[in-house]
Amino acid sequence: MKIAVTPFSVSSIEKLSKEGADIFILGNEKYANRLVNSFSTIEITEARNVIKELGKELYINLNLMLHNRDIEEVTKFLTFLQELDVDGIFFGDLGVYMIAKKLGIENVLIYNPETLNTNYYDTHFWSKKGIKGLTISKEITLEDINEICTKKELDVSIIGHGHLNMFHSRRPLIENFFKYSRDEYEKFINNRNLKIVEEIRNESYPIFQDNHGTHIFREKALESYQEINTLKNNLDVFIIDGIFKDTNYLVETVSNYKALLEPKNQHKAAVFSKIYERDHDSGFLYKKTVYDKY
Amino acid sequence: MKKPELLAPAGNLEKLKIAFMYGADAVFVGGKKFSLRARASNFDIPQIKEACDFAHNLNKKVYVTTNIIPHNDNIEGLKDYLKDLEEAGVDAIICASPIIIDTAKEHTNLEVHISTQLSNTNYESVNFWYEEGIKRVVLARELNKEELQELRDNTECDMEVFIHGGMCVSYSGRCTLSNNMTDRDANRGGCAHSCRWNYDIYEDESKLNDDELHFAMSSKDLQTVKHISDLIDIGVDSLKIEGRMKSIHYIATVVSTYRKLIDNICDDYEVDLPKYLLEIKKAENRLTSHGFMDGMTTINEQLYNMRSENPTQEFVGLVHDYDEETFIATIEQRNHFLPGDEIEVFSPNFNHLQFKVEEIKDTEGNILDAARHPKQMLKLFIPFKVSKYDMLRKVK
Repeated sequence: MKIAVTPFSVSSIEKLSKEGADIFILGNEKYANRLVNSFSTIEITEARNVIKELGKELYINLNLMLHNRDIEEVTKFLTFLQELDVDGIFFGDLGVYMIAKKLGIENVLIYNPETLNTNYYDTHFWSKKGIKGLTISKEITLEDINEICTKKELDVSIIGHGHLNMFHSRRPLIENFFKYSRDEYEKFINNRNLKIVEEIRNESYPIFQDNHGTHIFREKALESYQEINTLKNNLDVFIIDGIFKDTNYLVETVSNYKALLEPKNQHKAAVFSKIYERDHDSGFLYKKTVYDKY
Repeated sequence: MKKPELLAPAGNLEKLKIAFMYGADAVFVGGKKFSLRARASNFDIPQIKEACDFAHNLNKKVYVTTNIIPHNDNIEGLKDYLKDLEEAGVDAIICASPIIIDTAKEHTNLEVHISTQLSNTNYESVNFWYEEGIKRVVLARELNKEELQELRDNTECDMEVFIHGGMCVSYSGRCTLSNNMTDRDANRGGCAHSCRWNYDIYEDESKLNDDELHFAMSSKDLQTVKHISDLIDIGVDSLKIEGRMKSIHYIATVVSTYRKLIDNICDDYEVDLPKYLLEIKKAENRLTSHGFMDGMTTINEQLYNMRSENPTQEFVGLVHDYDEETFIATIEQRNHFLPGDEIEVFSPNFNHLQFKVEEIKDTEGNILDAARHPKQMLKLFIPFKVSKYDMLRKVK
């Protein structure tokens, strides 16, 4: 199992690599949602060189919801990635698969629509399409993740650590609300310090609006310290997403997981969970959502 | 000019019959298994068969939703269920998960449509499904008319477009608000509509909204009377009305309005838009807007302050029979009304005639002071001919 991270800068890659990261996930905001940082094509090229030197892998996040007007630009970007010889490309919209197939690079694609890869058959379906891998949905239990992995026919990844999003609207919901309720709204666009609180729930959810619409996240970030040793036997890639955090946080979490993969350190898992419990939880790993009940 | 299919929701057999009577070409229903909208009174297999027989006699169609995104535990019985649907005679199933799509393709001859839950927003993704042998894609509700035209120009796949009803504010199928806030899985029929709840919005620790005005994301319902002509010109294959949970009055009003509108446009009659707008308002219980039809949504497409309107007219009864000799109608009560109330009769042929209620009698001939019991059969004098399935509305 490889550990993938979302670096905040090209300069942090070497440090993260030293701590144990195997894969670096970068993206450009034009073609991706919910990035920790938007990298230009020049920076991505620079990162490619650094990562190659280190003998590690570069994945690109290209998880936009594709609209017709984006097709031409996405085709150009995919051609750029093809020339750059990236090791993996995450996509969430089947249109991206179609474009990549025309370019003959579907074999580096990883399907991550976040909510749609929910059962063992999905790996079978997607292996027939000749892609590299898929990311299991966010609301799937540990038991189901393990079961999907035992039947997998391609690389399987999960986002095992980080703030998971739970809502994406094409609508400019923040802009519209502030246009309705007050005069100014510009300073609330692309503002990642906003949170919403539902009237009877004592939880606050990070929310922001960007060019792709409005995104809402879970209150607590996910951590899988106590699960990593089960997951390592099944998963191909364990992703640590640093959204709303920083490089120090990524360095710390990567080194924690790396340490836990050593048999002598396994007893530390519960300690790490304890240290992180204030703003982290186990997400849906042990929580089955209710099927078919109103 | 190709006349598109008018596709209506049907929460039960009565609603299905009403939808057809009032002009739907096809209906979609939920089955007992593998379907979202768990709370809609879904059909079992014998009911689906009855629905298909009824529809096929009228040369109309029934589609069944099998649109959950199943987890490992939810797959048992899938093959047999799909075979049962095929046996019952359904015209297509509406799917969102590869395992359901492939099981249908491998083990049945069912026609497969791709659900809006897969948020197909571009012609490349629609063509993905077309190359998989899929005949029709129900498009994402985020598309504007320009994008629909580009889709039409770049795909052979049948395009189904929502024209009326409730809207997800999120990209459909990509939302787990309900899962996170209530443990109910939105993609397996449990959506708690958390996007319609009230929130406060903060920047760091400071609250940005007033106490009187919550941060709201809730969407107005879709209503596209003014856009139907353009959608027909674009060449959309099916125009879809949402709302398997809605009343028969809602279905009758909405379906008959769009039916008349589509027929008028396609037959090149003059289209009296204000008349249709007025008519469709009678079914409104939430404010409406055109959604994304004209481009990005604005404050006019959102619901703030939980602004809501009641229907301007109230559904009070359904006609079961009429005696042309005595001018006495037998009706089934649906809401309270009194002698002296002004009533509008509304029928599948889009005629609207009014009368004033005189005596209200029960079936034994007893005179009642009011029609107060739901589903009670009543006798009323109506001075013009009415027919079974006509509806009575109180004029406010």
